[in-house]
Amino acid sequence: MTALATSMAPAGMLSQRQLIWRRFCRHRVALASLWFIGILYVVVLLAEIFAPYDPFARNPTGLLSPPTAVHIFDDDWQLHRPFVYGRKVELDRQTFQRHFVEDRSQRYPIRFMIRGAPYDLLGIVPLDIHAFGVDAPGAIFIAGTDSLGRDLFSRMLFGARTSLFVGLLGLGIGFVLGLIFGGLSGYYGGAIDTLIQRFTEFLQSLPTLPLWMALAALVPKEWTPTQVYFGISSVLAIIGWTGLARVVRGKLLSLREEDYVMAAKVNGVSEWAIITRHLLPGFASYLIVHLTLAVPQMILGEVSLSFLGLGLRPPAVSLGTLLLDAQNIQTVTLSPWLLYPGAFVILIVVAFNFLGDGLRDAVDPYRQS
Amino acid sequence: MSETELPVLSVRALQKHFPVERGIIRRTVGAVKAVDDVSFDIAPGEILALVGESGSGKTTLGRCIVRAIDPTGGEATLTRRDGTSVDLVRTPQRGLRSIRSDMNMIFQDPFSSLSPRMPVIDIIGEPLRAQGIARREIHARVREMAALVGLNLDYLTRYPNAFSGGQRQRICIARALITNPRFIVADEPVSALDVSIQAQILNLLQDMRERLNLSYLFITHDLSVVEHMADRVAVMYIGRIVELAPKSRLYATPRHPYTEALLSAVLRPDPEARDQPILLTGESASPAAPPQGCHFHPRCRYAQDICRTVAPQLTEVAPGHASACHLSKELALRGVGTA
Amino acid sequence: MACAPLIEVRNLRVALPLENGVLMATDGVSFSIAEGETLGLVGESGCGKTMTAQSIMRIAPRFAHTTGQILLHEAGGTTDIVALDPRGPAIRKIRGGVCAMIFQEPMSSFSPLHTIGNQIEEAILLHRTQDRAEARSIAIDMLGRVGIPRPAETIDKYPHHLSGGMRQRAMIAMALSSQPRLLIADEPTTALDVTVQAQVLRLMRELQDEFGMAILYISHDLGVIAHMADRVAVMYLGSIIETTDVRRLFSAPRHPYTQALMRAIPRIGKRSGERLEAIAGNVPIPINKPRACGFANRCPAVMPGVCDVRRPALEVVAPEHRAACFLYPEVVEAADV
Repeated sequence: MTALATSMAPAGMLSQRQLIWRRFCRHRVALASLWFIGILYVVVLLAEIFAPYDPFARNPTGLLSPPTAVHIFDDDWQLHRPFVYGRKVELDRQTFQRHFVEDRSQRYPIRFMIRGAPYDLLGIVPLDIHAFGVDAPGAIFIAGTDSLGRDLFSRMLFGARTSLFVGLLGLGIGFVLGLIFGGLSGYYGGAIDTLIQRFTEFLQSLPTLPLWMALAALVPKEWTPTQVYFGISSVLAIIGWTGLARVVRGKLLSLREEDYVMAAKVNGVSEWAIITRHLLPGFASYLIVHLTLAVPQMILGEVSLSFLGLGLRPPAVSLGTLLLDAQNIQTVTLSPWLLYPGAFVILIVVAFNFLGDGLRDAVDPYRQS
Repeated sequence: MSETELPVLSVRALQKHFPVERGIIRRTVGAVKAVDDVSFDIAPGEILALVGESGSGKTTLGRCIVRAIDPTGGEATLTRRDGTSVDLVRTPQRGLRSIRSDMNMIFQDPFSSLSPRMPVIDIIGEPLRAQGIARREIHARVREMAALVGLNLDYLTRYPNAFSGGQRQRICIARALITNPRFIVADEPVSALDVSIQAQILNLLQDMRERLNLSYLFITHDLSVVEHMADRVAVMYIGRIVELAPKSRLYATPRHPYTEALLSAVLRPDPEARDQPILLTGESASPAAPPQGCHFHPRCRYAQDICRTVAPQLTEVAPGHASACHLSKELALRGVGTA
Repeated sequence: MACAPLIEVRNLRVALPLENGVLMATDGVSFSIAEGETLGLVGESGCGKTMTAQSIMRIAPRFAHTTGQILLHEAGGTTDIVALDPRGPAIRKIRGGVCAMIFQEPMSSFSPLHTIGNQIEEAILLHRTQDRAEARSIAIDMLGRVGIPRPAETIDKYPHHLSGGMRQRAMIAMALSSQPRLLIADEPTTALDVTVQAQVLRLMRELQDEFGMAILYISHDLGVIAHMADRVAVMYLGSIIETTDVRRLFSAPRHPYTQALMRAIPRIGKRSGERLEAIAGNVPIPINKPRACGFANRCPAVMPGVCDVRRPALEVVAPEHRAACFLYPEVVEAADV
């Protein structure tokens, strides 16, 4: 069958990359995940526009307000463009709990590209346009508000921005280190390989959580929480490249034995050109897969560490710190929307994992289609 | 082939020993003598076939000569097109780069020896690019060479996966010949190809030799192909050359018992010739633990006491015919008739 | 060879739906093998010879679409293997029982986790006896018969302890331990050295004389086929294009493909240095195959308007000799009717 399979290679002029893309597109869920992640990154980068409110703006009258319902029919079943009702607070005479109820007398149509709180887009462009919102004094909290009356949806967007980007530096450092050490180990072999492998095993045996706590205690006091997190995650990356280094080493060891690499050597191609023109393209796709699957790990790492109080701390907004509010069982039972950031985390991680799986299947040339 | 002309390649006492390592700190505990004290010459325009079974070291020998791997001892002197000579064993890899235009290699598997991520035009042109030649000139020469080996010029921008095995081997040949080398190591160039394609490639290799005045070291296990291609034949067994002779002499009057067995084991596509081959007992020993004395003695039906203790040297038994057997003068061995 | 046929393959078609079309792995293959006979099935890679063998054992890929008949004639009656459930008990009785198979690479056919003996005994327990001790003694006996030295010790070794030739012998021992009526040998010596190949081939002939089983011998090597087969079927692009007894095939091939192949292979004794008469072109891939002779685009004797519009049937063109080529009036006649 092997001889048959190789002679069946799709005729035509498709490059390896085009073949991978074709295989990837057949994986519907992964393709959808790619779209989701792409849109997500655009939205969180431009969070100021897409968030209707400032993530720190408190709404003293709207503490722990449930998600605002969006309507298109009024009480008389008349069709309108989407709108929300006003809110008023009612006190339950028996439990003495406050409830938010809709004030059916006031209707606030949802408006797009509305002027609202001013901000600096990407830190430089002063703007006050928001993608959607309602006119004051109406309010739209599509994911409710937290215990200080801040709009949870806006905070989720800003929190996702932190969570999606804060680990990237660490990831980048780890990636470069893994590539270098794995590359040295795999390309040269011999004593260098043995040395790096033993060193890798040492690093892999270090427990992460206590190390993280020790590092958290070591950083200068005057750093902001975000700087602290940046620092720690970078240090962790410096010792966390081992997994990638192993992958790179293994891949190089097998690719180095390929006849075409030997052919390049016989043809007088320099070492550097062999690495960049023959070896790297051979596993660039695997690196992309590795990175794709590392991002959700990084997000989950941030979320769980922040949740434990070891990572980011309020007032920094991240998906992890947003979940800090959900630590209290009472608030969760009364205000279940505080768990929305958790659902958001799941969605993001699952999307990344599907994307990674799709890519892995697509780059694997030996997979039966 | 004139007698006075310098050989293209002169190999003397070439050896490649792979260290055997044990334990965590990789202590060297022994050596696998994959190629052990091998010497031969190849004249300009000559095809020397190197025959042997798996584990004989024939592929390692070929790779050592073109320095795809580094030999551990001996000499291999290449006479270049400009008349200068260079010892391939002692030149460091960096210094070899300019010499590589005078020699190249064709691999067995045309599927794994072409980088799957390069278009064919870049694959064929790579040796020129490594010599620092301008892109425009490379493309012109690639087109010329591709036409010579019979590739469709319209398909040069395609990737190797669009080509069949035979076409891929043509690409490999074009790549090996593009720098106008003098000497080619062809390592089982047709073994991976379909029977109906093999003849095309063998003919192409013959044509190229005539047109470009090439010499080949033609490595193969197939004695029928050898008979068709070679001028002289060297038979290898566990790292050593056991017999070296002009082709017709070797086939008609072999002087080593291993050659005799090898020849008789060739199955001819002729049901009338179901002659009983000389059956050798067992299989060739591992080069990691070769037998004492003559490596072949445990399988040899003529073996005597001396064979078990003393390793025979490759000595001339007739003009141009050398054999490494203590008994080569006494034995009358069976060859195969050449019609 | 006037014995009753043991197995009859009738109009076997195996279609593999792939992303870029339907690959006809075998396209109307018919042949029969008599008791004790060796049929050589020769062809190049992708011609469908392996798929034919896999269809008899029902081990073709699951997505393959198989039609036609494979009739196995036994004393108890005739079974159509194609109609059996590929995972049912009936085929399991045939597979490894009445029909056994040996493969090109014996290393991948043995599990590395179990001893040779365990694996052979398992086959014996499935098909011959229930008694473990008896199975073991049969296994030792079989290993001895295939020429493995010290079988009582070797039986407890693992596959990686054996050399390539010994593994192939053990593989043959395993295949023969259930006393099959048909042995399918798929390129069994291709991975072996020539001197070892000679040993294994002789062993197979001796065992055939001893056990009397029929052999379907699949190879791309005309030398091996000439040495082993009683009758030969030549396959090209999913179809048998010529079949006759081995002497006729090699002395007077009728199909242009067989003729060209005979001229193209280098052989000892041919005048050396003489150019080989190469067959032009490449072996096509049988995806979305047109209704034409598969060899038409490479054939030196192609007749435009004939060979490229109809498919020649395999017809008798000489005594005991069938070929599928429009050069022969018998084939033209059959196509017109």
